[in-house]
Amino acid sequence: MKATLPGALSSAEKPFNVCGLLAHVAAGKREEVRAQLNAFEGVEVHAETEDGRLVITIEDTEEMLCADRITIIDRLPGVMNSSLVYHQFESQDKLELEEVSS
Amino acid sequence: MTQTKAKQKTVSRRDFLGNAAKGACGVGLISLALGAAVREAEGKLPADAIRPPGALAEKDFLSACVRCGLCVRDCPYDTLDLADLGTETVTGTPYFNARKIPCEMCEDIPCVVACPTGALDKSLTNIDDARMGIAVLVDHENCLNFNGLRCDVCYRVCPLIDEAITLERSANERTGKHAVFIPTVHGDKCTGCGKCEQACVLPDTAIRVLPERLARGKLGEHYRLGWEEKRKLGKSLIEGQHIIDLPDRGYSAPAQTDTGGYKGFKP
Amino acid sequence: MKLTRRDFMKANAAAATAAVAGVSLTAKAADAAVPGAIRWDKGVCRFCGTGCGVLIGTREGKIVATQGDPDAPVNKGLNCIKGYFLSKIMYGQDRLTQPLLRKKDGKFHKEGDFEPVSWDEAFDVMAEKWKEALKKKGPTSVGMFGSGQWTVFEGYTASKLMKAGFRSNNLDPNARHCMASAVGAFMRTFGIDEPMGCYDDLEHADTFVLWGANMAEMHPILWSRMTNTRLTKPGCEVHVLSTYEHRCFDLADNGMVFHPQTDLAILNYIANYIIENKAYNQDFIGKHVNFNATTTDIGYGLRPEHPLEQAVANPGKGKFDKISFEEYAKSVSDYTLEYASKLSGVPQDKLLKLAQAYADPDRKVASYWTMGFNQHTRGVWVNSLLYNVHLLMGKISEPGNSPFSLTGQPSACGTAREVGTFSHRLPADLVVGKEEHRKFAEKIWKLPDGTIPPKPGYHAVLQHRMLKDGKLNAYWVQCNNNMQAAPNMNEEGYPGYRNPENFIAVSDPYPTVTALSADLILPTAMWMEKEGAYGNAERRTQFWRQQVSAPGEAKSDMWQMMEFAKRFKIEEVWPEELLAKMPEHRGKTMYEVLYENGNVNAYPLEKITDDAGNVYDNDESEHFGFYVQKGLFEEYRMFNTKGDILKKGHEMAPFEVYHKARGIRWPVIDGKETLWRFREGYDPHVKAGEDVKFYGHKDGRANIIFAPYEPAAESPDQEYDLWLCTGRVLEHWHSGSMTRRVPELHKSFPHAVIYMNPADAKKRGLRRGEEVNVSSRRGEIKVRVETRGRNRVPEGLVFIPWFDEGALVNKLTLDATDPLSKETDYKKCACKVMKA
Repeated sequence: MKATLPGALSSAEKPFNVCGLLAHVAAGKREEVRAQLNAFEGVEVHAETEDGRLVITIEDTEEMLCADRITIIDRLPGVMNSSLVYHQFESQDKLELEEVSS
Repeated sequence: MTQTKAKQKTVSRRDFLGNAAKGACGVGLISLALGAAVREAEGKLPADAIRPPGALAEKDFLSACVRCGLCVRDCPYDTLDLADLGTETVTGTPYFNARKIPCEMCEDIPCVVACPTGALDKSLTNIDDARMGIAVLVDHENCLNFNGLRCDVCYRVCPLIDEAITLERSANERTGKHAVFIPTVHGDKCTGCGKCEQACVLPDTAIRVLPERLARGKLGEHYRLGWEEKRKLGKSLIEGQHIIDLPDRGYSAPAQTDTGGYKGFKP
Repeated sequence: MKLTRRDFMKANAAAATAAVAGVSLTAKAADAAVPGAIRWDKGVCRFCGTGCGVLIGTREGKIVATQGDPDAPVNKGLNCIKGYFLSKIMYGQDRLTQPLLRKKDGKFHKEGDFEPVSWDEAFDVMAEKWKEALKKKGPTSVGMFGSGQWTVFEGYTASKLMKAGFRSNNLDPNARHCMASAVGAFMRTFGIDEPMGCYDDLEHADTFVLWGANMAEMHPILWSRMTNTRLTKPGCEVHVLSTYEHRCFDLADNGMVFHPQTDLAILNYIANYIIENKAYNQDFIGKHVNFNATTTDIGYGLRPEHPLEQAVANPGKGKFDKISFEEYAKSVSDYTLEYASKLSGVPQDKLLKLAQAYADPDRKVASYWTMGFNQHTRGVWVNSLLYNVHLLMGKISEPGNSPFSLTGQPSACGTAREVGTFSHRLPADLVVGKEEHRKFAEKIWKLPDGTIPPKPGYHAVLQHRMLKDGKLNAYWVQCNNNMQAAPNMNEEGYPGYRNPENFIAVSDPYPTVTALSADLILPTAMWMEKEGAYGNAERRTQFWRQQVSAPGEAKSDMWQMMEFAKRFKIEEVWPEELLAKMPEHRGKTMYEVLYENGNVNAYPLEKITDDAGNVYDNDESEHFGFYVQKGLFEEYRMFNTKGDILKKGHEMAPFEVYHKARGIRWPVIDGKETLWRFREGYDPHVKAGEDVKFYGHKDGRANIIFAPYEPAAESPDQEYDLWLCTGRVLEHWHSGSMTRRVPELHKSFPHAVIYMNPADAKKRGLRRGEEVNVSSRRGEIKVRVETRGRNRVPEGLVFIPWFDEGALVNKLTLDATDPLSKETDYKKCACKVMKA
């Protein structure tokens, strides 16, 4: 049975999430983990430290919200630890066409 | 048109109670259920939940509906659903969400036929007389037709096209050579079936079915629209007074053509 | 630098996270997170013949947005709902990205399943099959079915490939299903194709008459222009004729529902009214018109053994003979108001009002038609009968006085008609049947005399018959969905494709019904994935640049044809006596002979930029090493501009000009476009003092051609008791191959329904929404009953749209064609409806 949840937002107000995640990867597993990360939609690896920490951004995709993706990444074999460093959300409709200057 | 599922959904009273019990185990839901209880007392539905055709006024409906689920079972299009515990709609009562599955306006109205109590009014025999709600074009800024595009999907899916929704035409002043077609809902014909809300192509619909209490304004009882009164009466309200109109000096209006236009100027 | 909100958020997230990790982002990483802004470039809508200008927004190799071009003269920034979703049509989930061949045990098998193969393997197998057919049965055993959705360049490539390369005239476009009757009448009446007027008539006319055109849904933006004129111009009126009530009736001042086929009688009645009331323009008809009568009882274009054809006196005969004005007047005198009203079912006062609008010398009348006229077993006749009315009054070739044939496809004019993709035609209105025309084409193409065969090839419907009969064996379909479109699929189309003697290749971006009926599917680059050009209904040619690359291994139709040509040595396709006339071609490939002939490869590869400095890809030019589109267009232009041209009036501007303009209406002479043809002051081909000149004919006159009312091929009877009419809906374009892949459009009209009169439904015990079997003598489909909604059909007629591949209405339709234009009548056959 379906139901309308109280307080549920209509999709116009549904936020679009972007997260910055710092993941610490075991020494021998880096290649493997990076390849897996690159295969995920909405996931990007931006930088990597010598001691095996990866700077990752995750955004909501149609299939999966950030939160679920973070859980999956945290459980990848080789990922020793991950921590959420940054989280921002905005309403969906502003994202595609609005341009901002930087 | 929405395909009928081969297997009709059956919702037994026992299933419903079982689900309700499971739902009640969620501690976090208690406060929400309280919210629903408050609303129950008020007899108001959330704006996006629509009652089946023939539903009595909300307060009367709630006291008449025995939450049996028979209307849901007999809906051939899976439109109707029973409200879950913890939702804004009173638990166990039938409703539908037009954006998901609208009412297909069956000629034989099986949901009303199935209702054992009269919560869905048996005197409703012509589906065109159903008043589930009223479609309202809520967003004039984003509606494509308001911007001059030729979408008018809501108009063309309307089962009462040209009656419940018409396209009101005006000139597009920006382009100077196109027309604008404004979808206009007529509350006295709209059944609230929600086909328009479902079909709206925008990511968030610009046209929504709302309960009548949210959809309509009301003209003050102290005022009448003169031309409407004249139309209803078929003549001026003061016809009997033989009002005169003196001719204007030096001017005669050009003769009108059959179609209400004028002949071109010829010197 | 500009970036979107989403990019901005991501860049923030990366920077903040990197700061915690104590690393700084490299420049490259920062770039990746901060992509550029949207690049906008001009283009044209992919759908109907209106030709709305659009702006294409591209970012990171993907089209992310579109908008109506606010400065485009046709649409001024507006789009219909299909145009609104243009940016999504290339990104359907089932987009084809590699060739697929039916295989069993690792090799081609007619009954195998589709397996991915390389382009090499695909073309190896295909070329082998074509060579086998050529060897066994000669050039008439190979053929191609093209499209009014091809770009101008692609149509021209195909024309050369088939008519000169393979020496087969078995090339026909799907415009045969759409515009052939209009073309036939243009040629017979004016001797030159395409409308004399333009869209500006929509603002200039006082009276609009729609003859079998549901403009409100099929040409939504033009309808919006007409509506505006109706609203803002005093005295303006709209007459609408159709066999059922559709959305145009909402605006109509005079809406008329007539019995199918009786439009022939109504038009003759109008001519009769004009003559009886001496309203005709004596001066005009004296100077500019010849009177003729056409051969009658010409059959229905069915197979010769069909009983209907057996009884016919003059099957397929198009000859017309000169008659006097008096003889013409006598011919139409049978069509009295009483007779026309009785036959058509339209009340007398409505017919009279219509006739008066045409006969009033002070009213400017624009007539519009589409498939109601063209898809008609007397399509050429009915087109002519309308011209008769306009010519009698001299209401033609000036602002507001305009008989105007609307087109269904984006380049039915520009491609299908102008560059010679019909089985009887060559570029620029030349025909294969005339030696002089063939010689002229051979000279431009630098080919020996006698290369182009003189006999017209198989037209669309005949192609399916010949496939079924095993006479056409190697067949290539590009850029259309003919298994869903062509009539009588059960008896002709499908058996033809699946005939074990035949090898069918289909090029398409998506796995359509046609593709899945073939033996080989070739993945195609579409719309903005290639540089292109379309010609719309008002003779406006519009160009666009390649905006993005095609996905996977998908290649444009042009690339496919030119690459395929490389697989043939010229000795394999030409006989020795032909080769002996130009021995320098010996040892060359067909590709070299056709496309490296010094014309097509005349322009070197260049960096393609716009004035803003944006750089665009051109995958074909990079692949072949020269500016292919420019070479093809400039060679085509020789047909219109070379000193000794055979037919004037098709002049085009140089290639570069089109990339700078929002489309240009031909003939383009002295840097100016032409809005109205055949009249002094508007058309540079008409000299001072000539007033009006229909220069398509040697005597400068247009032909009024009398034709009588003759009944339809198949009418309802006791068993099949309903007229079946098919057509389109606004939300979907043609077979839905693109629009059904846009979720929002799919949702707005997901499945075909049968529009039925409530009384007809009641008689059969049917409820609205109930599933029914609709059957004809040829097949059966299941759809749901709709007794309400957009189309209000009269009792005795049903309407089913054809966009839904889940309910193929062409299983029901009859393959009866206009015997002259060979265009199918999709509007009339008999069917019955039963509870499912």
